[in-house]
Amino acid sequence: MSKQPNQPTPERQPSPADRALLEAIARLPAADGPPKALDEAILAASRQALKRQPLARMRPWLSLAAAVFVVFFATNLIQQESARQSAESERISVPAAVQSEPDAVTAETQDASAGSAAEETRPMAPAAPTPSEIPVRAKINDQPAPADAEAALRSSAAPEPQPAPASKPAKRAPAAAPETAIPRPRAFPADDAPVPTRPAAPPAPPTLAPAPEPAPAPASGLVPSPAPARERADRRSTADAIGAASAAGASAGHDKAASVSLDAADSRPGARAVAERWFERIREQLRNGEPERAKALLSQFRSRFPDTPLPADLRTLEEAPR
Amino acid sequence: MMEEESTDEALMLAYAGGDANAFATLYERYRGRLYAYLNKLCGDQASTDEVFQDTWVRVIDARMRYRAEAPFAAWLYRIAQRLAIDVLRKRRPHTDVDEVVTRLVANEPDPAAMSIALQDQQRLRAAIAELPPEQRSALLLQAEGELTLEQIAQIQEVGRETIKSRLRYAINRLRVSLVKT
Repeated sequence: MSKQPNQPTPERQPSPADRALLEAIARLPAADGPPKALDEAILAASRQALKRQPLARMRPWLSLAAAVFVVFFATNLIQQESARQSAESERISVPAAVQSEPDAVTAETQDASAGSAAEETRPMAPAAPTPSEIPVRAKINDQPAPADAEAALRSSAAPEPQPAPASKPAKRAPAAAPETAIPRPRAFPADDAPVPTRPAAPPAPPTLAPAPEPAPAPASGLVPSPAPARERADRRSTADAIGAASAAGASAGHDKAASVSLDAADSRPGARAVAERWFERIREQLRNGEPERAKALLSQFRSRFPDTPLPADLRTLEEAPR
Repeated sequence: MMEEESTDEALMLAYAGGDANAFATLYERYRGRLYAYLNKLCGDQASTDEVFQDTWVRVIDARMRYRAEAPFAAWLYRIAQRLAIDVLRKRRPHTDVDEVVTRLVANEPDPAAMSIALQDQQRLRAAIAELPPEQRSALLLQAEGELTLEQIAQIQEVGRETIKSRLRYAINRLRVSLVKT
């Protein structure tokens, strides 16, 4: 009981007899050492083993090389990312006039590069189909319409690195937040004059304007498409859905900003031509037998250009009862 | 010159890093002692050579895994002891002392010329050979006077008290054997 179980026993000095025995064991003659051949064999094996491990000797250098590679790769990625961001910001800072010089020209470029599918669906995006797209639409619709407009829309929503004048909506610009710093080059006011400040530059999508009808989706309606009726219906329904979504997410502040920018555009020298495009698109709706859409478009125009006089034919449309 | 002054552990690490001379220095330090220990433990030269070579081959093969946490000597002797005990266990578990003495005497070219001292040595050898391998190893490690109880405990991977017990049993058995013969 008094002894701890794991406590070491006190060191006992070996008795003289034990010590003598241990000394006798130590004095026992043993071989002088291993035979010479054994020595040589072992030493040779030790050298041979080192020759077999060049990779092991290179391990520190391999580790270093791997680390350098990883750092280089990461740096490259960061540089690419920063270059992309700077290109994007450069694109943003480019005057709107340069960005949105005649839609027809940009549309031709896009027709060549992006294909008709993306073009067909882009105006349906919450980035606002406006009358400025009329020439674009006309060109686009000369080509066969895409089978899947929604897919094309998705692809067109992807950001492009090159600062194309009529670039698509930026990836990071959500549908419900059009006041983002990314410009909407297809916006109506940007067609004619540079926008001095970034917040004023992005035009409001038509669906955000105080339209009497929710989400009129003028994009599909505005375009006299030679595509089959079914395809047109598909595109229209897609546009309606997207328009409704963006209308739901729009804020009052954004509407105000868009209206201000359009008013500013109205007073600029090219405003007349812009207004003419609006008129032409409205007339086109009338010709297509879409008076309601024409009225909606006219209402949008009026909300943005309250002081611009209407031509006689459209004046009657405006005065006509709904 | 530098290698002559280096510790065993530093030499082993240097060898693992590719320095062949470090191994040669280390080998030179331990070849005699280890061979003597194995020779007394195994009792015959063939087994001693076999275990001695295997021990160093194990050291060479394990060079990349060696960590200087335990003394090199303890690591070396542990390898040697394991291999030796394996060899000893393959033999008959216990050798009769009388048989060994008879064999040893019979092997002498001229028994009449043997000195008393030589007879004593042979008797002692035979008695050691009769011990169980773990006790024999512990006894030899202590008798060589180079390893402490703690180091022997490290080599045999048991507690210090177990080593003391093994040594006590080994000495008692040796005495009995020697008295018998």
